[in-house]
Amino acid sequence: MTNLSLWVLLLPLLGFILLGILGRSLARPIILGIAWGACGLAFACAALSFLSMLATTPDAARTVDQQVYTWVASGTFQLKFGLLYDQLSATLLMIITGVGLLIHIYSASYMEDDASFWRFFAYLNFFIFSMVLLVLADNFLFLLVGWGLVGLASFLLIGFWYQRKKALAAAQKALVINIIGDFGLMIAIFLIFVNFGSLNYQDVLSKVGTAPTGAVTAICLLLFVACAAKSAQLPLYMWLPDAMEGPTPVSALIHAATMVTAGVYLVARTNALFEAAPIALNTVAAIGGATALFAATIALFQLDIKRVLAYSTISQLGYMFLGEGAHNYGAGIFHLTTHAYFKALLFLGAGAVIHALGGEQDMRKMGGLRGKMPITFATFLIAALAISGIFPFAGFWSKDELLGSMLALAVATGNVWYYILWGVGLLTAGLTAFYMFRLVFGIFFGTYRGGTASAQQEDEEDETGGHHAGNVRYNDVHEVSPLMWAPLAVLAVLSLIGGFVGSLALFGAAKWHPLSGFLAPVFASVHASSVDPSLAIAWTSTGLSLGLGILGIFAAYSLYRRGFAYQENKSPLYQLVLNKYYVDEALTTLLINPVLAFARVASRFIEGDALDGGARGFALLFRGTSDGLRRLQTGYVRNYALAILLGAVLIVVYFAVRG
Amino acid sequence: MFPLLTTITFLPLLGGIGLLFLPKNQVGLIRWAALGIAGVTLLFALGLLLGYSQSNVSATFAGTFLFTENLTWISSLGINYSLGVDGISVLLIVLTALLTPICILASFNIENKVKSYMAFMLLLECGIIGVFMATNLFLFYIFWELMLIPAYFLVGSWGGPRRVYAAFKFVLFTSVGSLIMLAGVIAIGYYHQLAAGGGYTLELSLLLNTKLDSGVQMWLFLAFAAAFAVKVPFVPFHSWLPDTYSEAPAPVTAMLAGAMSKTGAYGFLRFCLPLFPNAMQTLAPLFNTLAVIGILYCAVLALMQTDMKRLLGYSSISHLGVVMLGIFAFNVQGSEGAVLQMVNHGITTAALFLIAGFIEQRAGTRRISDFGGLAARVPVLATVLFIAVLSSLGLPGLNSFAGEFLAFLGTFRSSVVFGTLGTAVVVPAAWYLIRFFQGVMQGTRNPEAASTKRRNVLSDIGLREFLAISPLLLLIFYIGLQPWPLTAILEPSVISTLQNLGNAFVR
Repeated sequence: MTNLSLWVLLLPLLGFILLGILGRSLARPIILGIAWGACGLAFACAALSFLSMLATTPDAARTVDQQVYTWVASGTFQLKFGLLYDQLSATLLMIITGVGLLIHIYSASYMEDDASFWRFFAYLNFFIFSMVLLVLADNFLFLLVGWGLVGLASFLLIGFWYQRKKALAAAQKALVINIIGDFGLMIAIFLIFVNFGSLNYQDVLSKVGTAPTGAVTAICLLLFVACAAKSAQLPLYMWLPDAMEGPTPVSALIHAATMVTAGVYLVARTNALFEAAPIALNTVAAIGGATALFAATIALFQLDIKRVLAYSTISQLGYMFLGEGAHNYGAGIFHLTTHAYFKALLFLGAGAVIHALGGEQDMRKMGGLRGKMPITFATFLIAALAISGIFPFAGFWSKDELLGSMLALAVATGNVWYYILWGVGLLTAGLTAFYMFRLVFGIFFGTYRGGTASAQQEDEEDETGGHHAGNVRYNDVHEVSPLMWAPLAVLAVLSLIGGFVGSLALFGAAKWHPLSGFLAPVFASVHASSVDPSLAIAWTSTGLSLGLGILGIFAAYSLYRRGFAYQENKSPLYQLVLNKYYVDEALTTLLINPVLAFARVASRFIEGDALDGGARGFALLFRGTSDGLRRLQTGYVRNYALAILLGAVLIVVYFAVRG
Repeated sequence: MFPLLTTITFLPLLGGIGLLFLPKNQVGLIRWAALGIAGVTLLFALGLLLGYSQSNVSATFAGTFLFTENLTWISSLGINYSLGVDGISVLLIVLTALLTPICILASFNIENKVKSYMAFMLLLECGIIGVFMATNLFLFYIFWELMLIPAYFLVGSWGGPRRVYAAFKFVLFTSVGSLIMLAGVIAIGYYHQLAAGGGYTLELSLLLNTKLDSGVQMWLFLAFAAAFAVKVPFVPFHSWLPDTYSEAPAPVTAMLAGAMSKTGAYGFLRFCLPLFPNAMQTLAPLFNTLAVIGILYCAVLALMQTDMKRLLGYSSISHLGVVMLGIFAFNVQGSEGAVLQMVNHGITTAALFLIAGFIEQRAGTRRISDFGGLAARVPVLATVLFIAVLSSLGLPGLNSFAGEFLAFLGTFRSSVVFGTLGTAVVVPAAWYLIRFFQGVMQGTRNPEAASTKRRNVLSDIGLREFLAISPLLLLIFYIGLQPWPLTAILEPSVISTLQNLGNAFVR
């Protein structure tokens, strides 16, 4: 097997180093040459290795653990850095470098007006490097390194326009919440070392049975803290909507297609641990289901198109965890794959609209763009159909596979909670179709609502950023350049046909399951029986979710087919959802402000008065004592003579009394 | 044999004295001569590192120092001039020898009394290196007190507006601790004589052979700990630090925070752990608690600091708490992580203070709120600061991560509670460091601020400044990518240090 995974890792790093050091002084074509070249060659290496893996049999020969060097050796703690290239990492490398390359291409046009063009591409290459490291690492420690570095890349790109206060706040929030996840991951790693004496995946996963269930459960729950932070699940999701302050291609690549799916990857990678810890796996399913529904409800009423997509991403990530919670890790990864296509497409489409409207993101100022931007419209529509789970688009296959598994699990165990989770998944499917087509109708149908001075509310900080919230007139709206719509077209094709690698068991072709068959060796710890639903169950689940999806589209059609009209709604429930359940406000009041207040008070009183004052008091005490003592040193012989006399008398008295 | 250790220790002292004979107005010559002396010392120190790493120290050697030099001084009191190094001290010596020329180079902008400034810097280097080399307790005490003299004058004469107050407080705190230690030093010889017979001695290698009674260990440990705990510092003995670090000139702070602050933690590891193992273990919960409080409390305090150098000072206390947790973990990962983290903290914190100094020098202010949006004007300086900030917050892949990870892993292995609580610092640390970076470099400039009026003065990092900082940046990446060579040097010495713990010690 040809394994070029080391090059997939090093090429983007090389691109980043070159651009980071020289980028400022390079011409744009050269910058693009380096950035595209690094990502393109990485994609080529990933693809070659992937094809070579497909040609390799048996399955055992497809896993290569390539040791690179010793990172540290300290007592019994020995750690070698290595790359684990197997079916799972091969699949993810294709997505990361493939979607990454498309977004590199798209960004050339999207970011063309930006003064820090080079910096953007340097960061993009850095992100690809970090994400590849995360996926390729053969041990938990370098997973943590990749985990931290993608967090850094995300921070840098969210705060790319660093003059904007909002972008800075969003970047800070993303970093801090992600570090909460890193903290969970670190503790999990300590526990893994204490229990298994190694951090290498293959060592640990082959020894799962040797550790007590309690420890494995704790490890899995802590790993999931990291997953929840990175993949924006309850209760650590708050950073992702704010992350939309970054440039839109970044939202597509990092905050939709790749980085945020790292949690899904980690659960899949450590499936042997989760299979041994039922409580933890049920937690994954429950959090996934709850997040899917929760985020979908928020997406219903958002007005900023990128925020709708952000909540949609959170919701879809919930689906992936739901599938993993149903023991169907393959379905989780499958949905990760198809989601990468259609969600990247949705973001890039939204980016095309925003670009064409000069930076406008508010749906109230869009509408009727169908005629002006036909390619964007067509591709966006395909993506919306795909995410809504409409046959035969990609989302249909992946979403229904994981919902079917959940129903099968519920039927097999008779556990009412699994039925509820399945129901939540179905309901979310309906809501997804509704909010997505609300967006389609709002952007592309009806009449254009922007372009008038009165409709424009000036964004107070737009002056310094790369884009100016637009006041573009309808006649000035144009379809985006080929450099931007070509990636849309590629992703649209993938959103259309990308689902066919799933199982066609629904239609009697049970032997056609290329992706899950390919990934099966990675998920060897799973009992096969718990994954495959019977045909009746699969059709029940699929039929209902398809029906609800169509219902959602119909509802959106009947409400918004003539375009989106915003109406102020005073109902408290609507306000609650519109304001995202006030979670941010609650957290700020309950957690952030008390910490800051404590710091302020402690600086003033503990540090200032108590300790500093205490030290000064101590010093004063000495000074007072010595001042007193100094007065004895009068320099007069008669005083000293008196003192000697008194002393002598005291000594005599002492001995006399003692007898 | 060539007295390599004496050369490294006293070359700066002799050089510093030599500087005093140079003509006062030849400022350039004085600066370059000081840099040259520190540079030659660094070369000798690197030679020592090379020689040490090739000496094939086996993992079984017990309490032995290499490159030893012994001269009898006052034999009746067991006081000898004895120097020696092991893996732990050799790294800290190289760190000190590296930071000195860097800080001297960064001090070239000092115009006032250059000659004595440079002489004091070199004297400070002599004191710190001596502390790391002394293997006789009396000699150790002399170097320990010797550090204080140049530090006092450097803070008190070249510092900011409240420099006299800061220097006085610094000396008051540290000398109270030191005096208590002196009592301990005198007593340990006595108790050793009582337990082992023979003559009174303060020679470390002899003292290590005798196990003292637990009760005696306890109070001797507390006496030593008094000096070390102030120097580290442990909360609540830290209140000298924010004042001293913020008032001292930035290169002096970089020396104090980068090199001198390691002497406290070093004292715990070198003397307390092998000499008083029972007392250390008995009191470990207390010290771990103080360390965790210091780690978290100072990280939270750093969130609300308005002065850059004060912020970095609190950050420094928080980071050294991690070192202490590692030492009190009593296992290989904890101790190696602790020493690695001492080295890393020395590198990173020196870089941070130097950069803060560069910024202060340009803008004439240290208030974070006076800045904002500097990155657009000084992109290279912003990048350099960002790298140092990332290192400080423990970004995986950079130097501090390696040390912190090992220290926390060791702590976690000995106590899940302290390990978890200590590790939790990564969250506030990231928070305050990013607030700091964003506040200074990103966003928009505060139009009300004093620095705005001097906007034309703001220039990007200069060549001299870049040369001073670049070795630190290289090490930040190098140690992060491959901490293995450092742990390989540490391993035998750490194991031999831990051996006196008996069964309680964990590999």
